Amino acid sequence: MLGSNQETREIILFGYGKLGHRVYEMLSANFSNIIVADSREEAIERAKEDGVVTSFHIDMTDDTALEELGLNGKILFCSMDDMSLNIFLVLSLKSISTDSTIISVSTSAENTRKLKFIGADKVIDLYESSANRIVDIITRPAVTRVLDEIIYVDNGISIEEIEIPPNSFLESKYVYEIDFREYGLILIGITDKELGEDFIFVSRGINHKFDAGDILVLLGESTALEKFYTMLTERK
Amino acid sequence: MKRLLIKYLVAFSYFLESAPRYQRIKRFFNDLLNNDDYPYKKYFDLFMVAIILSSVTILVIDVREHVAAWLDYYDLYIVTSIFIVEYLLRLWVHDDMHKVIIAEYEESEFFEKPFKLSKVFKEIAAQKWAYIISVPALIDLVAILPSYREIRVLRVFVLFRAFKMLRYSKSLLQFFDILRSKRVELYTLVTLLAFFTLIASVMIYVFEGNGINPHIEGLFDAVYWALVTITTVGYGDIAPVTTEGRAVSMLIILTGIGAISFLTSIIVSAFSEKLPEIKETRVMNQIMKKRNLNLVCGYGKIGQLVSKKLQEAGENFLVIELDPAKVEKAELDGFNVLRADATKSATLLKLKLCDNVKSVICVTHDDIINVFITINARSLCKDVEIISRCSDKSVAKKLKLAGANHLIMPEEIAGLLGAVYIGQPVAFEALQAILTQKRTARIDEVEIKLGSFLDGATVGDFDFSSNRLVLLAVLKRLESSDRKSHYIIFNPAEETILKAGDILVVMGYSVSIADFKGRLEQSVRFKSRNA
Repeated sequence: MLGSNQETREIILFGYGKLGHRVYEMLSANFSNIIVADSREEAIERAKEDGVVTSFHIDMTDDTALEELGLNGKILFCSMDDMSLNIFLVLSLKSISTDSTIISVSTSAENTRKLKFIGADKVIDLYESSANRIVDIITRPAVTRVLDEIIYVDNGISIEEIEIPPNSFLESKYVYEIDFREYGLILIGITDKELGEDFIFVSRGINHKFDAGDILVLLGESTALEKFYTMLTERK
Repeated sequence: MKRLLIKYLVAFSYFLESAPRYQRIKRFFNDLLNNDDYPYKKYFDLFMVAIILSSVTILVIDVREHVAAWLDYYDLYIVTSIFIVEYLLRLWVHDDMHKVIIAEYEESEFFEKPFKLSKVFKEIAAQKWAYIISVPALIDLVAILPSYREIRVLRVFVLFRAFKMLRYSKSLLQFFDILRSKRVELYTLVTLLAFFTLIASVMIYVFEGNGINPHIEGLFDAVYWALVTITTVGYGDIAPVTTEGRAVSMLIILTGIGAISFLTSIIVSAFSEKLPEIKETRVMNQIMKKRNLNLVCGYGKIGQLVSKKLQEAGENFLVIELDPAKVEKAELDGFNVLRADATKSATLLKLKLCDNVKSVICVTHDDIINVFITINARSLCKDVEIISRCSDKSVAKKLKLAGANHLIMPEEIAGLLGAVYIGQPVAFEALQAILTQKRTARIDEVEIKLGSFLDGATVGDFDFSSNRLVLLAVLKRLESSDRKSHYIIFNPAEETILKAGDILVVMGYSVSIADFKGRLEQSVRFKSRNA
């Protein structure tokens, strides 16, 4: 995310089995500060072989051991292969830490419901997302290709969210006053702080007023996005 | 003289063998009469059923009342003629006479021995005779008989016209197939029953046929009584009067109950054995009518979710699964399911992979099976879309080599989604909402049809934003390439020219997208009317 320091937050990845290993690969492509924790010796060994810098061998059911990792303010990613352990871990983490973001993978609608119930911030259902993708490929091939280009393919096109800094040229302007095309960008939607945390799609047609702290979600080339962000911070 | 005859016969046979028109005509009639996949057979069948029903109705009415003369003529000449023509056609298409002649001629040439006319005739006769004495052919023949009204008893054969309907109904035919599968048991039972009936009737005749029982006047009465008793029907119009007669009665009543329960069990077991087959036929019949079929191979976790979502999206699909427990689950969930092995080419060929199938989705829990299904499908058809699941990276390469168009790796998707969420939580929620279509905003694709108002226009000609739409990208078809390949222009400039076949990817709320699609649709109709 441009305009925030979120990427620098530390990520603790719990579980380095079949699932955790793949999650690490995807995460490490984008983030550098990743710590791996697992209760199995061989998993830790494998992590070291894969080039994980910091890894801990801890008992996941031991709360004090978890506390010693220092959880607050971090992103906790639970990807244990055993789902019941995963749910238990999320519960432990939730009870120990108050201001961390807990993300968990899930393998069924039932587990997803349980994980959400005990307070995971984000639950990613492995099979649900796979099924969605399969159906999208069949029913909306063009859409899938476009989204693929944005998410998967490294071609410079991405979706970015930009928090409007104070005193920017956008302040007190309305959505329709700004032609994002001029900057080579497409505005997908915004989170208007005046109206709460909800994300509002621009296609809904409401003419929002921009304020500092609002988050814009923009689609475009990375260079255009960066240029736009620099402009926001510099100009008034 | 005989040499000349043979010469002409052989020449004529070769002529038929090489005459495309003759072959075409014969194939047409064979398709019409025997090929269930032939689309026009359905109409022929309906026509024949209508003819039969009309004929049976006329004959039934005729029993007590007098029908109009023209109806009688219709029945006598038209229906009978149609039946005769049908009978002869079936006899004709049953096999090829000229092939027998050619085979014999070539054999005689090869071994340098004389061509034997008698052998050829014998073989042809044997082939035709085999058809004539087959049950359906006999029914056909007997069904022609009721036209000889002069012989009253032949009217009974009106029934055979009803039997003839069997030919035109698959499910009725299936019933006889099922019984045929148990013919050994049924034959045993019938023999047994005949034996007991014979014994019982002879015994009752010996005991009571000498005038003691006024109802038994001959052996026929005795047989009638025995059969009525042994089948547990027991009208009671003939009852034994002597102690010996009653003892015989008691014995054959017990035997009869045994025989009837035996019969019931045979039929029930035959049906339960054939049930999967009947279901399969039904599923196949339903599914083969549909085009653009998606095959969901494997009904595990992903298979189940995919099936559900495909149904919601209104796509045609068929689940293919080997595990009986999963097959049952799919049936309970209300999906079309075929119990078959998708790694076998016979399965995919049966489903007409190249003609009917849009995509093959390999989502079994086993990577290796997914690879096999992919290889199987790709080797049979080079155009079909193959989506395959795998969890191992090394398998992913193999799947690509095997010809999968898309790979689905659940763990990778999870990692990726996690990464996107950590980096950009708001954008992630937005994408998630778009992808799952849970909220009303969604991304959709709109193809520009030939002659619609955007065909030949530029992007700037349509004000997307005032129509509450966001144009994300245009997929332009590659020149001189197949339908499927496009290149993407993100955020297209105002002056980008749009052409028929281009696909617009727009974001908006369902209503806006529907409205936009509707407008495009309408403009096509308007133009074509004025053209």
